[in-house]
Parts: sequence; structure tokens; C-alpha cells
Amino acid sequence: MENGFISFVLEHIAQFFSYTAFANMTIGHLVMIAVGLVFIYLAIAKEFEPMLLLPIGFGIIIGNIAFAPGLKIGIYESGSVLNYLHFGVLQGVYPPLIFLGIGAMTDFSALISNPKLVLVGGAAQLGIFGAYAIALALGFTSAEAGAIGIIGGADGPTAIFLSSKLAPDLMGAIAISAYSYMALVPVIQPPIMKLLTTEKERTIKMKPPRAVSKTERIMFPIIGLLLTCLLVPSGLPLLGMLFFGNLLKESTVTKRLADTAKGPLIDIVTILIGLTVGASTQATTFLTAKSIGIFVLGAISFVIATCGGVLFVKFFNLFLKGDNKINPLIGNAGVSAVPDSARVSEVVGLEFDKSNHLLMHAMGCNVAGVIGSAIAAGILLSFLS
Amino acid sequence: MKPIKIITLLLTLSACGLVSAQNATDLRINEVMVFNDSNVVDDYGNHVGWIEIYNTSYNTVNIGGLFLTDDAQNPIKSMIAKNHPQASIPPRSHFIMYATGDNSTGLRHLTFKLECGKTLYLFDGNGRTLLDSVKLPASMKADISYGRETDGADKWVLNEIATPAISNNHTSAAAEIDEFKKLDPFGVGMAAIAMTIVLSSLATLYFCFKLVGKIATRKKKHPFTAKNAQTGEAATDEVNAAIALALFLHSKQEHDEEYTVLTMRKVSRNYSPWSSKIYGMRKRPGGLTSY
Repeated sequence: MENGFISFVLEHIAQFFSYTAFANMTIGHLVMIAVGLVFIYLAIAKEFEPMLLLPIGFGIIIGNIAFAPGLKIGIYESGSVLNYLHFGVLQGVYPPLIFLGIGAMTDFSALISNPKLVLVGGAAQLGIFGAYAIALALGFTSAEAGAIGIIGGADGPTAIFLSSKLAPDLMGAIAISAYSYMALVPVIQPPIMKLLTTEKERTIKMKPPRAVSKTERIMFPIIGLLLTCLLVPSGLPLLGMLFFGNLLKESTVTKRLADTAKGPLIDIVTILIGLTVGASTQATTFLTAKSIGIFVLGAISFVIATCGGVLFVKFFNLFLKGDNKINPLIGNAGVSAVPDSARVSEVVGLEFDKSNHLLMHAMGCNVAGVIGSAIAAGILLSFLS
Repeated sequence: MKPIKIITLLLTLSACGLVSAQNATDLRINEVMVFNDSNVVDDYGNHVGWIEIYNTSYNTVNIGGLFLTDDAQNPIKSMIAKNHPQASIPPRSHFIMYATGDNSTGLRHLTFKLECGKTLYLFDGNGRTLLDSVKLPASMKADISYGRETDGADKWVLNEIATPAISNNHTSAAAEIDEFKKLDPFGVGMAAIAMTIVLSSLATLYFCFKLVGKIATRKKKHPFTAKNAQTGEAATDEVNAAIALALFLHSKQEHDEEYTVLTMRKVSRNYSPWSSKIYGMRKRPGGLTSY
């Protein structure tokens, strides 16, 4: 009787232990938890993209607490709560909602007043296709190469949207890579900008932007949508929502809708996307040679994108005269990474001329980069899906 | 024909329809991947071999109680759970089973793992009626699937781009992408085409807004009024001069003392019936208050 009871207790203790994370943990899980902690540290202590790195970092920890299969806990386990939340990432629901909020909080006035800046946003997309070519050479499939290349667009929601369509298995690594490098924009871009420009070019003073009328601001999202999506309809989910959000803002008659889109809605979606993308990086799927390749390619794509933007401005200046010339230090802002890359332009510009404020001009390139990367994503989707 | 006979006939036909709705003979093994390195993951995030079953009919087929095996001598090696709410395949749809070697971990898991050269069998619930079978190639590379050329077709081919849980007809699209890669192995063509499209669509935007800007700046400037000050339109020279003077005076500390904030924005709260106390939802008609 006593033996039976003891064996019963021991058996159930053993069974309980088999359900704990300790019994199911691997070295990979521990490594990923450490990565999650580093992300949280960077977000809190260094304030590197805290709105994203904090949810992603915590998500990585959540996703790498090992568990016994069959309890409907894991993000890949159908029926689990995390699985339902992850649906929004897998099916590309969250990124367009984030674009709605971005549209509602973006002021395109700088771009409208100096529309040639939109071309800088296009040139910086060279990073996407440069990384695509290198990824192909490294043996990735076309779809995977396209999904990896989009990291060079420096736009988190676009990267998640495209990778969910082209290479869902690589989405975690691509998203983490994109957001990591976006956080490192102030470290990556300045040396390249200084390397590619001369002292004289860095001190070019640009004409102040003119006042933009309300009519122009209202026309921009409508015309922008028609001109871009008629040519690249596959960019519709992102561009449609971006321009719609902007129209909500600029029309001034839907203030409540615009406030919701740029406030509570984008906050909620950011929390969900960050947490679930982080949780999708389970050690079993994340710690592979491909993930390392993705991180290397991500860095290369950022470098190419920055070079593309800066060099394009230098080239463009050959055709511009007088005060129409553009300071090449705003070329880096052609990658999206709103508004960090524009801030980098401002800071680097002030290093060489204390009175030369480039922020407003750089913001024009920056928002053009958002449009450009969404168009590029649409093109990749139409070619490779 | 008498109405009763017609009704009987209709009921019989409906019953036939119901029978065929559960007809397992419409199922086919459609695609198989033995070595899965970076393809689809199972419920637990693991890359394991998988088998895709395709429902060729236009009715939903219940697959609960059917058997999958890689051993003809043991047809009941792995049973798909009976009475499971998700154990059915909608018309013309696909269902993935993961060969993890342990079917206690979920509906989609099998008790065996896949091996090259073996034959896979799909048996009916009685364990005797063979529904479909396929002999796997003697060797297969990682992430290469072996599947029917199109959904339900007789011909089997090796696919470099697997299509788990979606139509095998997509392999034709995949073949086009493969062709694209063969013709453009370094992505130069893709980069050139895509950059041209990106720049042309943005150039269109540039030309359009250059034109819009010209029209806007050519417009006759309106005198400064309280109305356009509120909307932020038409910052005239007078306004700019006033702002410049104010800034100049401010910098010289020669302005008069201000006790309030000067603003052009409307500061009163916007009225909305949703926030109105008069039309509160809890207020009863006739002024009665309920607690």
C-alpha cells in the first residue's frame, strides 16, 4: 500500500517534470533566450528602436521556453492563443494596418514641396535588388532571395509582409534582421555618407521648402495611389493603406479616424506584430545557417541602399543648378527607416555646418523611401510568387 | 409521377450525395517530402517529412479513421484520429500529415517517419481497401518533393519547389520562377527591370507633383484672413513678415509680456453626440434614473 502510494507520487512528479521547460530545454533555446535578453537590454538601456525591439525581445523569450508538445501552447501549434495571434503575421494582416497608421502620422509636405526628392527614395531601393542578387549567388531560391532582399528597404512591416508571402519559414530571421539594422542606422550610415561625399558637397545649403496648400496635401494620397498602384497593383495592400491613412489625416474631416489609426490602432498592431514575430523564432527553426546568411545579407543590403541613395544624389546634382542642388547627405534617408535615417542626415549635416538643417529635406526622401520600398515589394511579389 | 415518388427520389438522390460526401475513394496521396530541411514546419516548429492528401471530389470527405502506412503487411500502422472536428478535407483541397513517428502529438502526426524507396499506402477505415499508394524514389534531396504533376494527375515528378497544402498546379508557376532563375542567375535582369519600374512610377509622381506645385504657386495669393489662418492655407508675405518681426523682437527680448499662448489652432472642444451628457445612453426618457 505504502509502496504503491510512493510510486504513484514519484510517477506523477516525473510526469510533472516531463512537462516543465527544464525537461524540454536545449542549448538552442538558451541561446535564443539570451538573444531576447540582449534585445530587451538594447531597447531599454540604449533606446534602440524600443517600440519594436522590446516586444520582439520579449517575444523571443516567450517563443523559446520549451514545452511538452500537445498542450496547445506553442506559436506553431494549431489552436493555441499564440497561433491565432501569429495568423495576422502569416497572412499579412498586420503590416497593412501599420501602414495605415504610418500614413495617418506622416506629413508629406516636404516631398510635395520638392517632388524631385521622391527619386532619391527610389534610388535607395537598389539595396533590395543588390541583396537579392547576392542571395541568389549564395544559393538561396528566387523567392527566398526576394524576401531577404527586402531587408534593404529598411521597412519592417514591408519585410514581414513580403517574407510572409515568399518565404514564411525565413520570416522570423528576416524581421529580426530588418529591425536590428534599422536600430543600427545611426551606426551604419554615417561612415558611408562621409566616405562618398566631399567637404563641399556636405555643406550644400538647400532651398527651404515652400508652403504647401491643403488642396495639394489632399491630392497627394489620391494621385499617389493611382499612379503607383495602377503600375504595381501588387503593392496595393501596403500603398493603399498608407495613402488611405494619409487622406484620413489631410482631409481634416476624419480627425477621429486619423487619431485612431495613428494612435491606438498602430500601437495595438505593433505590440502584436513584435511579440508574435519574436515568438516565431523558436530555436528549432531560427538557429540555422540560413539565418546567419540572412543577417550578413541584411547588413550588405543596408550598405548598398545607403550608397545607392547618396550616389544618386551626386549624380542628380550634375543636372541641377544653383540653389536647386541637393545635399548628398540626405541620400541615405532614401531607405525607409523613418525617421532615424533622416535624423542621421541632420546630425551629420550639422557636423560640417552648424547652420545647415537638413531634417525637413531628408524627411522628404524618407517618406519617398516608404513608398519606394512598398512598390519594390509589390514588384518582387508579382515576379516571384 | 406522384408527388410521393418524386420526394422519395429526391431524398434518395440527396442520400447518395451524402454518401459520396464521405467517399474516401476520392482521396489521393498528392505530394510527399522525405527530407525537410527548410520547408514547412509542423505544429511544433519542427522540419519533418510530410505527406499531402488531396480530395479530388466536390464534397467534403471525412478522413478520420483512415490509415496511412509504409508497410503493406501492416495497413493499420498509423490511424488518423476518428471523430476529430478537423479530420476532414473540403472539396478540391489539401491536407498535410507530418511523419514525426509519434501520432500522440496531434491529428496531423503519423507513427512512422518517411524513407526513400518505400511505398506509401492510404487505406480505408476497414484497413483492407486500398485507396491510393505511391512508391517513393530511391533517393531524394532535401527540400525536394515528389508529387503529382498537377493535382490528382497520374504522372509523378520531382519538384524543386514544393507546394505543401496548396495546389500542385502551382509548380507550373514555380517552374516559371525556376526558368527566371536560370535565365537570370545573378539577378541583374531582375534588378534592372524592378529598378526601372520603381523609378518610373516615382518619376511619374515627381512630374505630376511638379506640375501641381507650379499650378499651386501660380495661383493668386489671397489676402490674410482669419479663415485661411485657421486652415493654415496661404501663408502670405504679410504673415511671414509678422512672424519674422515677432521672432526678431523675441530674440531681442523687446516684446510685451504675454500671459496666454498665442495660437491659430481652434482650442474649443469639438461637440460630439457620443460624448454628450444630454444624450447619455443611461438616461431614461422622462427623466427617470435607474439604479
